[in-house]
Amino acid sequence: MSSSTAAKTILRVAVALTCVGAAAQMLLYGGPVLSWLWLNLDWSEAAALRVEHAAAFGLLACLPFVFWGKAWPVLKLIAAWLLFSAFASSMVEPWYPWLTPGAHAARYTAPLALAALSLPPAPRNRRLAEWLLRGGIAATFLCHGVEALLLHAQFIDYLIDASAKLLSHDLAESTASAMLVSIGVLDVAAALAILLPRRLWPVAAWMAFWGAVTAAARMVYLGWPNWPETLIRVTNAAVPLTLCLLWAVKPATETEHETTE
Amino acid sequence: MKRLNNHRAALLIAGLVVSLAVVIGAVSAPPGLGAADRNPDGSYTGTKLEGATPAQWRLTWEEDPAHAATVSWTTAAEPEKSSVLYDTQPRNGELAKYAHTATASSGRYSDKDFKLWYNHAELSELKPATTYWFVMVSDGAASREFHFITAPEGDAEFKLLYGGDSRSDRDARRTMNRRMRALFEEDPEIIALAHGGDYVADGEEMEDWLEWLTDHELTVTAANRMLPLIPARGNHEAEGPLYDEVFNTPGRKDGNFYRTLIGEQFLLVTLNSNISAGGNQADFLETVLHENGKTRWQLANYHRPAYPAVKSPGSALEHWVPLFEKYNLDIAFESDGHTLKRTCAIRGGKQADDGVVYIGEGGLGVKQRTPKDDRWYFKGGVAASTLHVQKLTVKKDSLLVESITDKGKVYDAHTVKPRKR
Repeated sequence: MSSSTAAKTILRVAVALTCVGAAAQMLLYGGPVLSWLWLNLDWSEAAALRVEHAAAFGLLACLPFVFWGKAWPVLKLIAAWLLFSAFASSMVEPWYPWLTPGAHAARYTAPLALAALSLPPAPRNRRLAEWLLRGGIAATFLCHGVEALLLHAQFIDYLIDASAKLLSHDLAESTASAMLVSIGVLDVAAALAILLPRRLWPVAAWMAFWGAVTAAARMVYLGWPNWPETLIRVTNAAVPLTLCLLWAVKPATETEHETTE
Repeated sequence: MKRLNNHRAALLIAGLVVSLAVVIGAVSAPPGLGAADRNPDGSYTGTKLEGATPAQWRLTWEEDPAHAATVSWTTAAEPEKSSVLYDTQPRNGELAKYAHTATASSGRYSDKDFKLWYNHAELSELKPATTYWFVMVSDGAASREFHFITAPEGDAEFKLLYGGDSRSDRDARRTMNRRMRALFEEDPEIIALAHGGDYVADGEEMEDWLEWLTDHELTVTAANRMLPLIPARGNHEAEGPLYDEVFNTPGRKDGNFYRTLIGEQFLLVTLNSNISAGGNQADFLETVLHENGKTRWQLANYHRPAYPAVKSPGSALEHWVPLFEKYNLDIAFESDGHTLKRTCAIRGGKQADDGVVYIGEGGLGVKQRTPKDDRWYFKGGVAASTLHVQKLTVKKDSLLVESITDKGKVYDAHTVKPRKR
């Protein structure tokens, strides 16, 4: 398997898992679109529920097409819903709502990048995919970094909880806050570094590792019932991992592989 | 051409399958509720904010409600001097006759659009279970005379209201404020309201607070008895200084968590689910529960639920629930979900007769969601979609929690017996 094919496969699996996570969130707990339509726009609860259930079923129906290269418009549909959901979150999220669309960027740029990679293998399409991936993960890390610098209460609790569970150490809130500032600085630095013209694969590798850790933290923290929150964030690891794989070989070589595939 | 046709066929199949799934999803969605819970009565406008005339009155309790209370109000003009005149006898607003004076601190609410001022008078060294008659005065402009009763001392019996989420349906909020007033008038043993947070939709918008404060006047009885408030922060007022400016910073600044002792046998711990649950706050909770280990009734009040009726659990589940179970809390009040709930008694993530019961979810003025009543912890409990307020009847041998709807009907009643402590 070429690195490009591996990259596409990782992205396909990640987008599929995101669809499952987003659908599960809507069906099990209710998502931001329900809250926005019902509480902010004064729709009836029944109508708002109908929209979310329709979207959840739609996302689940998209799953097989995520793995079918020819059905790339479906990927745009998925991206459109995830973007809409991010917008709805920013309408109902009371804590720094302007950070939400950026924090969700990896989710909705991943299917777009996959669509671009599913187009005929021209360097222009690959460049487009690469910059979608870079922009998406940069925005996600930047916004999460800012949230960390603003000492997001839940992040502090993740650190305290992880320290207790993994190290059996009672971490003081002041220490967790100081650690969170360092994490925020690292996140912002990684977000900026990934946008540099030079392809820094160690940065992408770090982002993939950290994206996986923070996605898993949601489930480690509150247990298995929180699995949709982890799945929704799979792209936070998969997008930089895809970049790592794409950067592993030169584009010219990749073009040859694509042609012979 | 063949490639183009293949592509069209792929799109057609994908389009059909996804459209079919969307239709199935829409058709199979649960019915939800209509807008039948709305109250169209918009006639109430509240006291007009004009000059230094006191308006938007509220009275808050914090740690020691038998001996201290804060009277707060809003003025449209910056007052040079604000104070509360008070006495244990009614003085019908004749200012010279009141025995005591508490000078208020004043400041401008942090809002660039509204030029309005808060006034907080901290009354201290009060006598327990005593009626205090008072007027608020700003630059000579006086309110009418109100009264309130301080909390009792000793092993007392009393009643208390609990509710949360009064944030985004003003008609419903007014309905519930009238309901609370009716309960308060019917039952003078009620001493206060513990609020579970989400007073307003946007806690950084003064306009939202002005509406809430105006509507809160509706809780005052016809005989001018004021309902003291024990406030908790919700996620909709998680940020910004207005919450502290409205309620005179209950608990310490940047924390807003504290404990209230009513009499010597009733502990209410108010927590803030918008800040770290596991750090200083968990230490505080453990200390308070440890120090009050022999107190007969132990309850907590916070916004985001550990055992939610609609959403996913908050940090309380990880950091506070183990302490609740370790120290045998009786009841945890939770809001946020916009539904009515009472769980079964829970210990170690399972139903257990000696567990903690979680009650509330917020119905003081917000559209009610359809609860996920198939969750395991509602077996033996209650989940419903109705505006509501809880009334606690605290006795020596029992603690009764009744969930009362906007129509005044008792929807659910749950009795707790004292634990061996």
